[in-house]
Amino acid sequence: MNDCYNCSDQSLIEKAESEEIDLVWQRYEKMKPLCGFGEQGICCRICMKGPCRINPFGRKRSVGICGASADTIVARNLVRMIASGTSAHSLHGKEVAKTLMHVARGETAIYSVKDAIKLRNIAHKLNIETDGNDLIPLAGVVAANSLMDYSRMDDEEICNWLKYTIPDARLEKLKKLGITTSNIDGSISDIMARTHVGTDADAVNILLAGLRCALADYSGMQVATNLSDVLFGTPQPVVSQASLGVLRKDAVNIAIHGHNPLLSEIIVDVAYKMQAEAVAAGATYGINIVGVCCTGNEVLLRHGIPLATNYLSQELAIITGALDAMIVDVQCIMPSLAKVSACYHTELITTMPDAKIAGVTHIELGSGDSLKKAELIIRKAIDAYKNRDDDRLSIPAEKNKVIAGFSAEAIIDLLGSINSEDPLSPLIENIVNGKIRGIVLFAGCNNVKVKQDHNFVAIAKKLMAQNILILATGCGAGAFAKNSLMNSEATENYAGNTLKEVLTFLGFEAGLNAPLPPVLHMGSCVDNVRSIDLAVAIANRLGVDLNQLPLVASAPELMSEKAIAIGSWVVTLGIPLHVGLTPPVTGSSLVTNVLTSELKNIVDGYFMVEENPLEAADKIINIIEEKRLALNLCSSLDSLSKAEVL
Amino acid sequence: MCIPKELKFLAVDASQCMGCRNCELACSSRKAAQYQAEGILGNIRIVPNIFVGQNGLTKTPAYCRHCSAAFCKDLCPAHAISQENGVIILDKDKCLGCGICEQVCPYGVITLGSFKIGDKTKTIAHKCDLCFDQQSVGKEPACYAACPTKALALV
Repeated sequence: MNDCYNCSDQSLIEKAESEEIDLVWQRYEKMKPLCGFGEQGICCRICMKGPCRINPFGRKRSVGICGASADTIVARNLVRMIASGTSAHSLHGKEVAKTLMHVARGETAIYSVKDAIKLRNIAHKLNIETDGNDLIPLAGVVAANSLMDYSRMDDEEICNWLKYTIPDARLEKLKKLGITTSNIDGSISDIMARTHVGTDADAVNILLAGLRCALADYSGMQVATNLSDVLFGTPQPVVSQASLGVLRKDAVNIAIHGHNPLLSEIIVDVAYKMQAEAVAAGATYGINIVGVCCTGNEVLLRHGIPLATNYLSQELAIITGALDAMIVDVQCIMPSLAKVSACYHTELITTMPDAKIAGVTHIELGSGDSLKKAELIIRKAIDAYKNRDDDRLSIPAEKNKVIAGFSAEAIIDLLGSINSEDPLSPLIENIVNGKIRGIVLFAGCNNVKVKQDHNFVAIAKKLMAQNILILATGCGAGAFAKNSLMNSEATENYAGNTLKEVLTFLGFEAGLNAPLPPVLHMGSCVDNVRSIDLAVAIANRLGVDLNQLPLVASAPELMSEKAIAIGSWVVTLGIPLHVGLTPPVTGSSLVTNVLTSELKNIVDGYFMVEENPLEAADKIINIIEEKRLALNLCSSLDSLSKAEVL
Repeated sequence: MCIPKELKFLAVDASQCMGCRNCELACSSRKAAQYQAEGILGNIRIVPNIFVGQNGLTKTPAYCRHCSAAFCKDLCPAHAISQENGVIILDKDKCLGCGICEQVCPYGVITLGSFKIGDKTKTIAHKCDLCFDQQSVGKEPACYAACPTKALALV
């Protein structure tokens, strides 16, 4: 069996094998057997009396040394994953908010407010007075209101980025459950405190705190996405390319990898100015910046920079032999890149104080001399280019056209070209009349346990054939971009007739002179909130709550703690979530039952585990049809065609 | 060798194996203690006599079945492997380290290990002896004792 759905990636895996370089897939095989206690979440390493493991089969040792049951241990482990994911996203958001504050105080010459309209819209959304407020002071107020979400002392209050961004009915429901959050950082420390040895042992109480922390994750992601738009511009539709074929033989190829646009934006700006140096070094094309993982998504959406690859195949960018430098910031950066890059001429450079790799060149960006340091990094890439071994070059021919940049604002603008009075109405009308059956958001990572990208592609093709519109973020979006599902041809080839009709109409109205893609790229994984913003706009327009919309989320190849955190707030907001791999909770039937069933009675959303992609697609379709029925919308395509005939 | 008659043998219920590799660790620990007693600890790579493998989601240990018609015993040119009270046992002093037993074992659970004696390198085979020294004093084999779910059973 191939390790990757994408043939270009597979050919490079074979190249690495012939060069005896171990990649993630070999390391996974060598790691087997994976310990089942960890897989089921019943290994507790919280104190030093243990570690304790609970025998899932027998009565003996059914509790840990302290007496913690499997339910307690599984719940603790799960919410600690949520807390870790929340801290990753929210720290990202906090750094962006602090940067906006520096802009407002005139403390940085590197960054500025690029999207004033977005800033004013945010101020309006957060109930901040905008009249008479000049732009820069307003930026300071917005930054302060965002940073307040990390530092509020009054527990009765609710985070601005939570209470002003979800439907009223949902907010009331969360308030009644007592799981709203007033302080993002506080919610994380609450999880760490209550899961300390000898504290919270009630699995259900622990899980509810986990949901609160997940809402803190949501709030931090709202900060990260929205304030990044203010600093770097809100994405608008852009045409680019994806897959490893975007690397060029005649260029100094630089990959930017990680998650934080604060750094990649500097690199992109500086690289444009240093093209001549690259040409002088013999690279006739100059500098070719490509993206990897979610930094790749950020710069794809804002600058049209081609996306080389997503998480699982990050090492393959180096195996092409054409990558001269890989510049990394935070999250999802495999430490193995150090060893793989040492097998080639590639310069691997870390840039963040909290994300170093032993033995790797570290050039810190983010301070006053960032521009000079960015120049130094680009120069290192140009020097590395001179050492490139052409005999080891293997750039795949495949590169696919991508139409990306579908922020919520971009989608609403696009629809506004049809009905400027009520921009959402064309989308809503087509959902109501059944030409679009529903919407599915694909998010999450790749996981070495499944053939890379296969679950994304298999499920999406089946859904779009059933006239379901697809939104995508993060490495899910990377999977669709690499595998040619984000262009007009994909609509022609795979979309059902009515979806094709709608996308074609919208594409022409938008001036593309071709159908919109069947999968709309909404950004990096932190940008999942963009899809929620769109869903909230639709729900508010219809006067319903999020759980009533024919909307399902899917993370078919999830891997990281961030994905667990996102998944948890998605269900807390009332949206059913499909996961393609079983999270480490099966050691507790109580926790498993709460997540997959009981949650539905509490917050309307729930986890649906299905490892078979085609069966997962069927289950997602069934959920959408159930939601349509509950809204009294036409329940099958037959009735639609009948209505048209009549 | 003096193998007691009432020795228990190993069986496994793969559905209860968690893949934790505690059995491998316990077997290796016992070997380390033995090597220390023999004065060769640090001079020989420690390889357990039980190996946990994974195929799909199924995890299960491979270990010596002490075959009634054992290829390793029958084909050993040095007659270092014998059968006593149903236990296939290796006499390290007779072993030449030729590796034939390793090649013919249908379960892949015989390994070769080398250590130095002065200037010379001695290679010998390693295989499960059911911890007969432990069993003969009423104790459990190391792997069985360490198995947290008792996917391993004594029969």
